[in-house]
Amino acid sequence: MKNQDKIFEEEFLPHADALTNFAYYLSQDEADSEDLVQDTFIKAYKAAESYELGTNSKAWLFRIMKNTFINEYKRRKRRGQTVDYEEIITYHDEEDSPLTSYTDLRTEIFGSMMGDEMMIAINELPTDYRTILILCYVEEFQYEELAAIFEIPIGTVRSRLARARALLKEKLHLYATDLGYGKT
Amino acid sequence: MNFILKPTADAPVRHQKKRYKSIYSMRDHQPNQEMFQRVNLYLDRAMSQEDEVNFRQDMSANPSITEAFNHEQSFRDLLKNSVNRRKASPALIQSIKDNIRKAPGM
Repeated sequence: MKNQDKIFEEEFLPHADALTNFAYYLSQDEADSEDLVQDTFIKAYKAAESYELGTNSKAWLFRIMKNTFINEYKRRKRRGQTVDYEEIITYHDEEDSPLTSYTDLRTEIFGSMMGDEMMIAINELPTDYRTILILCYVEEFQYEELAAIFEIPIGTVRSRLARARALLKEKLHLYATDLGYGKT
Repeated sequence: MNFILKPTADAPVRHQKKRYKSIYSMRDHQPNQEMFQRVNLYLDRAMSQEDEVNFRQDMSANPSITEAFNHEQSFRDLLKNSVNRRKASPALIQSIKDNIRKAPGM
């Protein structure tokens, strides 16, 4: 077995499920997400020789996927193709603006909410907010890893997460109002 | 005549009992935001060890921090449990392996 194949089997493939999940939350399309997973693994395999054994392969793979997604999005846009991705993708390097609003919900609301409402609210978030929430709370990446994946300073990770949480809670607040929890 | 009242030793002290405000009654207050920021940093495992110890001490002494902590934990639990985690199908894995063999320069 070539060294490249060994790295691929032992270091990269174990993250296939997590990458498939991330791909879906990036593209929000089953077919596009499978293409994205394939492209990511092919790029990772080609670059396997430069991968340093023992380093964080998961964060490295997620970064490749994020860049592949952005490049594909830009390529499609240059060609004037209609893209299924959101028209406004807000990846940027500058510090996110500070929180302007603050929303919180009564804890008991969480018990009455179905997962469906949460999923709808998450899927309605802009891509960069949706993905950072998933990577932080579902994949449990730490701030340093998120900074490396998104290529942003740790301060931006913190503020982006805060904005993502606030936006998500605002959306859930609307659902809660519909459920009859008018005043929080 | 001077009407300045001075408390005597046996005068009842108003609000002697330390009261805390619910996290809901302090919406939009700066201290509330700071409290949630600390709770989030703690839950995100982004605090130094020293700050974690201080946070736990503050939490045990202040019910409003415990309330905020439970609130944020419930929100995260709902988020985590709601996300449908997709898995790579065996067909996708096989397809990736096939494509790697076919890819130029492989």
